[in-house]
Amino acid sequence: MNTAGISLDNVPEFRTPMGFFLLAPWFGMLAALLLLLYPEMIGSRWHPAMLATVHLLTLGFGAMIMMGAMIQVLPVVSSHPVPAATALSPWIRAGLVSGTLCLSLGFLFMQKSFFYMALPLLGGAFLMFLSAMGLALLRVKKGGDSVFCLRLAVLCLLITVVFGVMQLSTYMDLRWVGYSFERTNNHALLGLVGWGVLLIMGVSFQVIPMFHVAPAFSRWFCRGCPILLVITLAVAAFANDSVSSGALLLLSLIVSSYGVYSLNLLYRRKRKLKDYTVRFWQLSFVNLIVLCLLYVLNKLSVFLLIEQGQFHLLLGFGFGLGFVVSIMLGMLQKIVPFLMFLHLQRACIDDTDAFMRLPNMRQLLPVSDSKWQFQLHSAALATLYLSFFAKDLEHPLLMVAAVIFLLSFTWLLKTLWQANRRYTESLPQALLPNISD
Amino acid sequence: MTYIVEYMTQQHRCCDESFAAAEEAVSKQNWSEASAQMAVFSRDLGIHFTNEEEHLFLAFEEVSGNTGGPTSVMRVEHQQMRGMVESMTQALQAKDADNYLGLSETLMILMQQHNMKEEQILYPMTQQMLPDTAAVISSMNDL
Ligand SMILES: [Fe+2]
Ligand SMILES: [Fe+2]
Repeated sequence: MNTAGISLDNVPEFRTPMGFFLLAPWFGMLAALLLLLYPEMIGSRWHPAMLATVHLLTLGFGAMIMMGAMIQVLPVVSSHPVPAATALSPWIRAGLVSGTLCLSLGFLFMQKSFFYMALPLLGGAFLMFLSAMGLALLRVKKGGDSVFCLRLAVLCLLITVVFGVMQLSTYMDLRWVGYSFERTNNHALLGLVGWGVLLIMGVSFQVIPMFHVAPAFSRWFCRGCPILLVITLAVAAFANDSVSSGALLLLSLIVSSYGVYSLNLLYRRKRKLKDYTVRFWQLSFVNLIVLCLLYVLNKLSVFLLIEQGQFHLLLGFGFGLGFVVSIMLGMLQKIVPFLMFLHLQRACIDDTDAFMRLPNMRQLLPVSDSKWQFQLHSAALATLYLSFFAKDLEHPLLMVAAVIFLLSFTWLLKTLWQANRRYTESLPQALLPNISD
Repeated sequence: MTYIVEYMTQQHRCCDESFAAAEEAVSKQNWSEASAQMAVFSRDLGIHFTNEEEHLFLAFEEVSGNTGGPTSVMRVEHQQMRGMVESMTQALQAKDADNYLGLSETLMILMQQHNMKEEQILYPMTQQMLPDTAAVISSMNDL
């Protein structure tokens, strides 16, 4: 057996994932600001400010963090590094930042010139990310369940991006592509449920047992659930109306069973300490299960909101902010200080004195910071949900929610920024020149 | 048990138990229980590391002829974890719960990540490569 190709030490440089993490909160803040300025966007999913807000959140915040996390996680779960991760990352970030801003400006002012800029910028960023990631995933010979899940997630991201590009081309009057807006649902579904849920699933299979000393997900679930999800998703996206509607129902059952199972494993964890990452997981899975339930009830004609457009916006925002963003916030509270510690430890491996003086995880990112993050995010979510039922008070409540989200994303930036400063200050002085070049 | 993967994984789980118990006791400021559990944990972890370094890894390195590869990374990580256990013991003696919990949080993730690499890659590899796994297992100490 050839053991030379296997490396158990593939952690990318710290600035590679952290560069993504430090940029993301700015987009959350911008999205919250738009919601504050244009609360009337909640009236329609096609409102220019709504399209801008959604893409600031999904691309600027969501994809930014997911890409950074994936570049970090893949080498750990597969023992294979992402090729050229350090060299490509600044370019991916630059493309994603400028492309997302152009796209959002394009939506906000319905200016074609911005779309023409957004297309190559975003296309380039995703092309770089997807080819590096695709190559890394193809290279892994004996991947575990997480790698299997990540492969499917990346495939879904690829299709989402292709759909997104086609969608953008209609805004740019490139009729030859022959794309119609009826496919918007597929773009959203593949992005949120395909890429979003599969990526979270793949990471959770690994991370829930690891961070919380909980029982592992069973093998059959780790294989069966993603396969079933992808098949159902494909049917939902590409079959005719009645079949597709049944598939969507099945999809919500699959996704909610994942939520129930995860909650159960978390409940059975051995580490029962007060831990805000666990609370974030619980918050997001409860959100997920309730939303799936509401969706099923709605299909069975038990209406929570009579206006279907509003109901779908509630589902979309609940899924994005309540499920996906909650998990991201929870993961950042753990991953960031852990990576910092890991890199600090490596930096002073030969210096026992420096080693003993290293700040621990809770000193790098204090529990009180995580606590505030959890409370702000929960309050913002609750206010957002409430606004859907507030009739005349809908816009004022939405503006309150926007302010709390703004505070929450600002808090995230503050937390990450301070942690990063503490990290830099703790690096042995001799290493600083190397780190900065 | 004759299989390396099962035998060694069992030892990891065993260490998790006393680790979590010690951590919980510290968070409740139950110092006598914490010291007792911490003593069990550091003893078990020490035995497990020795089992790996002086028996399993050694056998693997002999068969594969590779001393600079995966096992050397694992040995370095053992040193890091030993350092952390020492810092935690000091924090425990000083009854400094905040410091202990900050360190234990870090050690826990470090240890889980290390164990994962062993359980998913290194142990299966040794299982396949070693001519007599039963002999290696019987040379190791139980927890
Ligand atoms: Fe080990
Ligand atoms: Fe081990």
